[in-house]
Amino acid sequence: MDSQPSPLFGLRHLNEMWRVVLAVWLVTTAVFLPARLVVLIAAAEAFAALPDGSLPDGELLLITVELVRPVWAPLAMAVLSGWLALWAWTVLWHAGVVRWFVLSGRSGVRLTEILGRGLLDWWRWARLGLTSMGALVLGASVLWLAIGWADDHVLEHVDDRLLGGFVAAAAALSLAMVVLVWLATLQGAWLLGVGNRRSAVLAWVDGLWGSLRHPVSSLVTLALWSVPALAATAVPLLVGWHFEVLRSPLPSAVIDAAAGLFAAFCLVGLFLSFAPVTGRAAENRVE
Amino acid sequence: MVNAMGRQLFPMIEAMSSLDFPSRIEGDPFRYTSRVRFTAATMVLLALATAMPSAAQERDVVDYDIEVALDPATHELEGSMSVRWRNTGGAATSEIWLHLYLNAFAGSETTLMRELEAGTLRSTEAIEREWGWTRITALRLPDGTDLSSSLRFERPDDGNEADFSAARVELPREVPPGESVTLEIDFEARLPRVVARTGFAGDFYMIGQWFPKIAVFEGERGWNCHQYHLTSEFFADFGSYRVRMTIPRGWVLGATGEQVSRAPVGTDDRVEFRAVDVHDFAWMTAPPELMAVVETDFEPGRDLPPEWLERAGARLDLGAAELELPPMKIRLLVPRSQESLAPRMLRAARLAIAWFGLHLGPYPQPQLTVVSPPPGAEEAGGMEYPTLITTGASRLSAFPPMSWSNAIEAVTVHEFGHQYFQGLLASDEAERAWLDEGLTTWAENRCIGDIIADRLAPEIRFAPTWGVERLWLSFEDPPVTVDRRAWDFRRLMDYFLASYTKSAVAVRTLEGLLGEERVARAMRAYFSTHRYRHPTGDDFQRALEEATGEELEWFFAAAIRGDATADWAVLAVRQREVGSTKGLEWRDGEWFELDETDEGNGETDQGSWAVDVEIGRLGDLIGPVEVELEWADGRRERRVWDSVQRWVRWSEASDQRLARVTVDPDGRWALETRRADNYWRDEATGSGPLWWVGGALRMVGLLTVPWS
Repeated sequence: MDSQPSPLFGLRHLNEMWRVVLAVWLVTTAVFLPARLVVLIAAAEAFAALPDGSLPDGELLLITVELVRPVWAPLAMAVLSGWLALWAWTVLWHAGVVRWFVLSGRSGVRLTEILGRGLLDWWRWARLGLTSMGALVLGASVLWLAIGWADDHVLEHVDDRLLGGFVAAAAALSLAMVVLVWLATLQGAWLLGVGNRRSAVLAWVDGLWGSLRHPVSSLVTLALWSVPALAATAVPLLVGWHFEVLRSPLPSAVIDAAAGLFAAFCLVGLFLSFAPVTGRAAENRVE
Repeated sequence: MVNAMGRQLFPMIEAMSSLDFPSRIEGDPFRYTSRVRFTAATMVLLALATAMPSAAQERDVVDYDIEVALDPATHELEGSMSVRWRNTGGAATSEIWLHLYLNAFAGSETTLMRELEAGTLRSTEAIEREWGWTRITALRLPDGTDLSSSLRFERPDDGNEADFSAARVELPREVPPGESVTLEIDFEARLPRVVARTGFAGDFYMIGQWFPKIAVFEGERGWNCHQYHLTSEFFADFGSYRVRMTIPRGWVLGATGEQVSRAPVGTDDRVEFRAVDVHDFAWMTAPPELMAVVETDFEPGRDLPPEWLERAGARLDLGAAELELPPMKIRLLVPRSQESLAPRMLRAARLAIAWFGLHLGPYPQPQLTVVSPPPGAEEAGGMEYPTLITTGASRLSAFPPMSWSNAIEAVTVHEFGHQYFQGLLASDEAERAWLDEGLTTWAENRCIGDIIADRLAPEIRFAPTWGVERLWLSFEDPPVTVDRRAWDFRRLMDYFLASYTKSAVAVRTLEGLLGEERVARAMRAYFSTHRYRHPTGDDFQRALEEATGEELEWFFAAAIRGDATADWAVLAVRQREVGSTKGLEWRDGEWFELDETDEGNGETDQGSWAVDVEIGRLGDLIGPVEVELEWADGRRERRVWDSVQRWVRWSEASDQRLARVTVDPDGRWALETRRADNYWRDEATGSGPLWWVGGALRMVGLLTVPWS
């Protein structure tokens, strides 16, 4: 029984999940459309009138704030609701994919089936998401309280090289905490589907334990999928930064779409790669 | 004998003498009368000039001799002082006003504490456990005449009976102009927990506004003595200080002026400092385990960037000899925990000394003391006293990404800039804070800009200067007036916007309108003419006008003394192809049908365009603004619109379409913060920065995934 995450497993099963990939891409793009629309309405005309070359010192920042300030409330609402919608959607397809993998004895993925199963069990997987957020808040609080205490009581007297090491360690610890919570959430999401267990908190803790037991495979899996996803998200910005011509509507829309699709591909692949932690996902399914 | 002020008036007198007086008319019975009148006027001016104090006189108004002891166990000071005050106000007075500023920290109902409660600048939580106060225990003349009973507290600003930060003492006889009086004062004080510039934090003591300080007598206007306010800083006359401070044995001490001696007294040390040509005296002390002292210097041959010398020479049209700077001593008092930052702090101080020395003139004091308060005493940071500045840094500033900011350089350059505008010009910081804070902020941005441009602080990767100043200014609502008393603003933020940001951006605008070189020369002239003279806003305006040869009343009335806003816009652009005209044409007394092939009308050539451009003034500041028109073939032309009317329409016939219109294309009007409507473009060819928004939102969205 293979209970470790496997990037290859994720890659092998991505082809049968192409509908989920498309859905993730479309929804991820759609949820922030209202925010983009708010900015578009407020600023597009003025931005389009700006010269291509350099502007006077601080001009772009000044104009951006001038244009966005009047719409900050709807923009904030749009971004927040986008966040909320994206979170709800991710919970939905995570739940649906897990239930489909664990319970379904049939081959062939139907999106409606995944979404239906996801809807039925949405609240259980939402509790898992809330648990991961709570864990992050708790961990961050403990970490920063410790840093604050050290700042007040210890750092004043330590050598600067030690202080540098402390700062680096604090930054590394913060990053490690984020990664660990992410891994625990991914594993917990699969473990929550095993045996129809009810406790999202216990599933998350099991996920955390599983990640700690198999740190290498967990980290490698996360890195192999998440780094390309993050990079793909940054690509349109970087490309547009260096090649001004690619900022115009058509090229930027094409690059956006391609990058978004690739990011969705990676995110679904990442999630599927953690299916083996159940130890049953592959066995129960009829290939 | 004509003093310096008389010499200043000579050009005016010469100008008067060149006037075409009627006495030149032969046989005019009034000719002698006119000459007599002219001579009389000249004599009056000379007499006035003679009566007005010279710079040398103004530097010698007060002479303090103070003995003070600090008791760290109680945070109390016990002192005695003798102060000679000379009346340079031009009128007799029979009273003396004093600042007793530590009383501002005496309770929750003082004017300072009320303002602290109302604002959000500083926390009052700390001080509520450790109040501060001062008390005059004896007040007499050298002949023994007791003046204690004539001491009265005054509340000239707000009548707040709970405020004891200003006082008045009646003298037994008048002090005529030019005469002096000496007061002998014994006083006690307790320092507050550090808040609003002064006090203690643990064993660290920043001791400012600690002794009974004589206010400024302005002749017929009376005494200029304001209460201690949250926002306003200080105003006093120049003079000399001899201060002997008794502190625990071995503690480090930094103070205004230079150390003359240090000797053990019992279990303590007695340290004497002297300072001349200063208008205040502040000091700090702390145990050596807490604070380290770095004694170093500014050596022009080593510390003056050659590119700065060259650039300043070009800006000011001065040779290297005229820009020569003297060496000076620098004392840095830095927390042991921040010692790794000392080289960066010292580099910032040296660069500031170089920049201000080159642009405004050499710093005349022999020593600068820089104090970086330790953790817990941050409230003492970012403050200026004569020859002593407090800065501030986080220890984490040594490490990326904190080290990438220009925080250390900005605070050091800013506070050193005050050595010129507050320390040497010494404008009234209570009534005209902008002359100090605003001009210092302008100079700070210029200096930081040069540091960045020449990569003299290569660690800095993020250094907001004018862009951020203008962004702050865009938040003024309603518009603020720069020239107001410091405590007289509706909101705390308005004080900062007016006194720091708007006044600095106004000078930046003058640079845009008049040219950086002309303003640089005007600033140097302003400084050299007015140092030690407490210049006013009118003095600053006159100095700029004289140095640039421009009349600037319109600008100062609107942007400094008024609250006019600068805002222009491209209102509309209409383009019509003339060759596409349809209908009838009146020709030779007949109507003729026009068609596309009709060549009878010289205006119907294909490719001819009738273009209307409408530019509007949306703000109430009237001033000249440049407009750039760019045609489709790339040809550009610039026009200047005086903007006296609300709008202007320019109708043009051209063989090209108009491609672009830009109001103020070089951003000369830094005061204009609504800039989106300054640009018009014929064809929107790009999505501009919008793609940033989309990309940023998608990255933000990805943050959601790990928690789902």
